[in-house]
Amino acid sequence: MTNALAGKIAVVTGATEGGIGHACAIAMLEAGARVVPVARNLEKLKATFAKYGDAAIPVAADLLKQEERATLIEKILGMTGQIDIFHANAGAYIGGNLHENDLQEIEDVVILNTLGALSPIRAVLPHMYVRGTGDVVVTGSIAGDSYNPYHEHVYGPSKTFIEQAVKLLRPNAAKQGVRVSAISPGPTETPLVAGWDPERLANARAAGEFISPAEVADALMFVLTRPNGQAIPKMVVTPKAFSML
Amino acid sequence: MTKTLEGKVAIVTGASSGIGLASAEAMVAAGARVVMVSFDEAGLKKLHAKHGDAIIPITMNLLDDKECATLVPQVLQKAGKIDIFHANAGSYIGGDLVADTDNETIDRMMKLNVNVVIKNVRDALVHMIERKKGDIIITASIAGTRHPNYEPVYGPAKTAVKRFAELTRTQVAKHGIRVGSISPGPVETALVANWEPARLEKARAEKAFLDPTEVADVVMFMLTRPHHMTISDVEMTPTAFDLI
Repeated sequence: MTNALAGKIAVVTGATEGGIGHACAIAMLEAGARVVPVARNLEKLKATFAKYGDAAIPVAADLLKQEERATLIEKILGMTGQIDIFHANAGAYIGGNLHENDLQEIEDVVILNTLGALSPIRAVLPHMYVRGTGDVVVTGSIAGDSYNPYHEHVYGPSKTFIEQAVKLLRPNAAKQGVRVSAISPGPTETPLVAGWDPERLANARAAGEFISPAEVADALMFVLTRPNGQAIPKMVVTPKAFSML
Repeated sequence: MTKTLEGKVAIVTGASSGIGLASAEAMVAAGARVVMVSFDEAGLKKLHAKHGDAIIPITMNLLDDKECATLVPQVLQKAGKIDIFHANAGSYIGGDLVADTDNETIDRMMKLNVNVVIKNVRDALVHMIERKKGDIIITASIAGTRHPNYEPVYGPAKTAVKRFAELTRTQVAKHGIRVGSISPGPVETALVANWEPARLEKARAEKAFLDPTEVADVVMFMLTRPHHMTISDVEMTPTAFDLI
């Protein structure tokens, strides 16, 4: 997989240590790309990516803030001049009974998982359209299109939103040479599972029903390394033992 | 390619051309012994000459119930086991439901694209459940989940097998078996001969086709994931594909 992305500049939101974005950033760095990992805490990001030297260019942003969602891409282009890959990955999780969910928390999850992806995608498209090339990838979720009893009435639809947005954006972006894809993981061992129903988490851990962030990153690399004329609109990756649809 | 499928026995139906051929040859290149199933005896003969003992050709009309039922027993007799079953054989009907086809053609297509897939997979599962391992891959189509108004029968047939893969996966995961589907957009195969001429010409002009070997790359990616991980479905299209 060495140097498959040499010369490319990639942006990954939600690159905090331990998550899918972190693993994807590392996979792209190891494939020769320069990578802009984005998260809220700049000091933490710098520490996480220090060993990659100039190849990693950490940028802080709070995608819950409209202003920061709107200006992130401009800020990055000011530093790098170019974006070949934009991976909209930042996301949050909320479980538990709807009538017990905190309203502000609901709003944050919905905003981050929908506009937190869509606003920067909107901002990066003109740049990619001018160049006639680019890859936009979102981290969806199997929760966006499933039936389950795990109280995902907020998280699930937020992922449906972004997967559907990608689906409807794809044919028009393709006309400008830009590929748009969704990777739709099942349960992945990341910091987000802390929000799961405790019983579900215990059962899933006991049954080994998790894939690792690095395995999701392998799927991302597969999507990014397809020949130009070929697109992967969606790839669904799950633990084998995963029994939810 | 490293020999990632060394020692494995795979079955691919519809293996004499198109996606099936590319998938079978990718598996041969990865070290598997591949049972190539097709009704095209002459095609299989040529492939046997090309690949020698790496393949086991079986000429069969899967639409014949009796012949279809002998597939898995024949393979077990000839190769001793089945590690991978790629249910790929399929046919195509496009165009206007009333003007461009007839009920007999529809019956045959539904039977090959749906019933045969389910029967073949079910037969293979009996053996795989005993061995507590195996990989099933089903060739579905993006037509099964998008809105191709020229495919009112083919589309739903592919929806059916994708759904079959999803639901079967949840039943057999506990036996160590993985089930996944692939959902390609237009691939330059024998099936496109049945497309409406205007659509075919436009797609060719826009390079809106995948190559079968690109689909085979996806199959190989699925088969070579760590064993605890399943790729449930992969949609793949030509970048220039304009169907949503």
